[in-house]
Amino acid sequence: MSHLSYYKIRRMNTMNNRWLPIRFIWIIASAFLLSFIFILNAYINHSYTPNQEAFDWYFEIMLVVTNYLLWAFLFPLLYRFIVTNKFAWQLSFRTILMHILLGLLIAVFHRYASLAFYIGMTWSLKGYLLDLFGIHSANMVIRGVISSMLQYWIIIGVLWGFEYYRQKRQQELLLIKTNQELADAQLNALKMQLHPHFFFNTLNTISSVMDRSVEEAQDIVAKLARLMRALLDSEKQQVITLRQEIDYIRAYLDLEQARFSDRLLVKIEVDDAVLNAGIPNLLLQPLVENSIKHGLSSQAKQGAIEIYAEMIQKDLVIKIKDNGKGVANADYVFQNPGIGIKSVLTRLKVIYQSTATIHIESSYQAGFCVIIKIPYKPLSL
Amino acid sequence: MNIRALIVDDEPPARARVAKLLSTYPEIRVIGECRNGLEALEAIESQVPDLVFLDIQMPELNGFEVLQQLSVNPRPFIIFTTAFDQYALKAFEHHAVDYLLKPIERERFTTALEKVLLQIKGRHADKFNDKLKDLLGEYESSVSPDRKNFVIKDRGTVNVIHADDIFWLASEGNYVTLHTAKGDFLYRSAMTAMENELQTHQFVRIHRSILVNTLHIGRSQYLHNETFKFVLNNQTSLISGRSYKENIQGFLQSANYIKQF
Repeated sequence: MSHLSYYKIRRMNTMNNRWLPIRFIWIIASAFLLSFIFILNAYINHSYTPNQEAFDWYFEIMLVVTNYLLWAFLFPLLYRFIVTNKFAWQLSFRTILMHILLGLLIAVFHRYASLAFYIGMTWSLKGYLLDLFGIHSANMVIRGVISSMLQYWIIIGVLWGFEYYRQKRQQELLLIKTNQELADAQLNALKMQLHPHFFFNTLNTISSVMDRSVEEAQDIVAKLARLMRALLDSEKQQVITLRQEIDYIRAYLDLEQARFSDRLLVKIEVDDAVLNAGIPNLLLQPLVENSIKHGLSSQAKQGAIEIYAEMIQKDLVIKIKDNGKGVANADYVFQNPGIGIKSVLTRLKVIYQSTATIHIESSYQAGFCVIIKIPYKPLSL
Repeated sequence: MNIRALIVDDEPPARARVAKLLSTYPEIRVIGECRNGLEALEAIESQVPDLVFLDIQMPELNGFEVLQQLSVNPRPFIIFTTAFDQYALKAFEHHAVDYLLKPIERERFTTALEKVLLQIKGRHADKFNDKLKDLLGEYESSVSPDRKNFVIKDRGTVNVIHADDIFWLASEGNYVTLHTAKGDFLYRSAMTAMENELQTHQFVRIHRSILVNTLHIGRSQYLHNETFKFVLNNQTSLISGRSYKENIQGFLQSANYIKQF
């Protein structure tokens, strides 16, 4: 029975579930301010038009205030709609079409609602009742619908502004947090790498091999140097090519092979097409080291490690497999990750969000296989 | 006199290095090399060497565990070799037991060996054994939590069972039976002692006489009457005791990876 365990790299929660970007009282205040401006505008307009009737303050005020207050109450609903529907706030043909139709619908609704108030007012003041669904009313709705639609678009624009600003700020905060996490994860990967146990044992191997073959010892020294150079460079380069990473892993495995001689079999198969793929530096290192640790060091039998990399659809898929003891419960690995797996998870989450996946195929006494899938992005050097 | 030495290390070059260093001592004869703790245990018991070069981090059994299991008398003299192990070094210093750091310095090797040779020639084995006993006592009280091995000797063969490899265990009087993929093994211990020893591992007591390794639980199911049924990955079914309901519920809540519940 094989256990397959997936670790979902969740998108970090950037959405908060607020109904409003600002307090409602400010929206109401804005509605009144706008009303004031437009009433003033209407009054000036009226005063400088050679005119017949006196300015009807009561009607004018009620008309304008109703108009903007209605928008104020629609505002939270529209905001909620934009925040919760990702597509409502992407700039695409579909979205624009959607907003034209929705705008029209809301504009008509808005007009009719305003009209209903207007009718109520005329009835209470002048004593005659207009038919809300009559031809006269329809006429008034059509006359006002364009300006209502314009108001809808302005509100959507304002909401977009709010949302854009909020997301921008959240992203900045996230970036700070993320960089911290990333730095920690990288430091952990490095720490594992510079494990003194590995380092001193390798030196011991060199000292022993010298008795047998100076050339062989020189090769090991050169590989150790390559490893250390890559480590020192790793701070400079966040992303390296898969070719570099594999070269590095190979040097590391060569050193382990020198230590354990016949006890370790290594097989690396990398598709030429993915050699130039970008990959976070030292991403695979902790996984390979885990395979060595659990697959080889904890049991006496012949150890084997296999590494495969290929392109599947538009993803770079990397598989690291060992013939060690495996785990009886693969979920447990993600629930209680060791320092190595943890650093890999953090880096995948931070760098690729939901576009990367990692899963483990393992069962008791039947080896351990971890499969990483990241988007293929060639790195030009 | 002829001193018989055994070299124990999981890395061939490391064994070769010690052998090479020993080659300048005509009175010492290397009688064998071992690649892991289990081989070492068998070799020491069957060949009874005078001197053992013992690595600490090894597969199956580590250096300390080998010594814990040794039943030969007199014990051989031990020179520990290690590349890096902070804990072990502290213990060695504390008990003034000789050790060699890898890569091995020739000068240091000479000093350590001369000291041991003097002891062997003077037959000061008792004093050395006392030191070793203290060292092991300290090791036992601070055994690393992620590594718990049970060593079972049965009719000449030595079996090493890692805690993670135990599916479940059942008490049988003064013994417990360890059920593993390799078969069932009797181990002399009481149930409560085992429960304590395995505290840092993922075991849950489901019955007065049953302790289950949660790593190997395939699914679990509430039956009736406050009892649960556990089916292990190897298809063994176990029924819990009624009085362990709370213990089990606590585990099931914390272990959300068992989704079938």
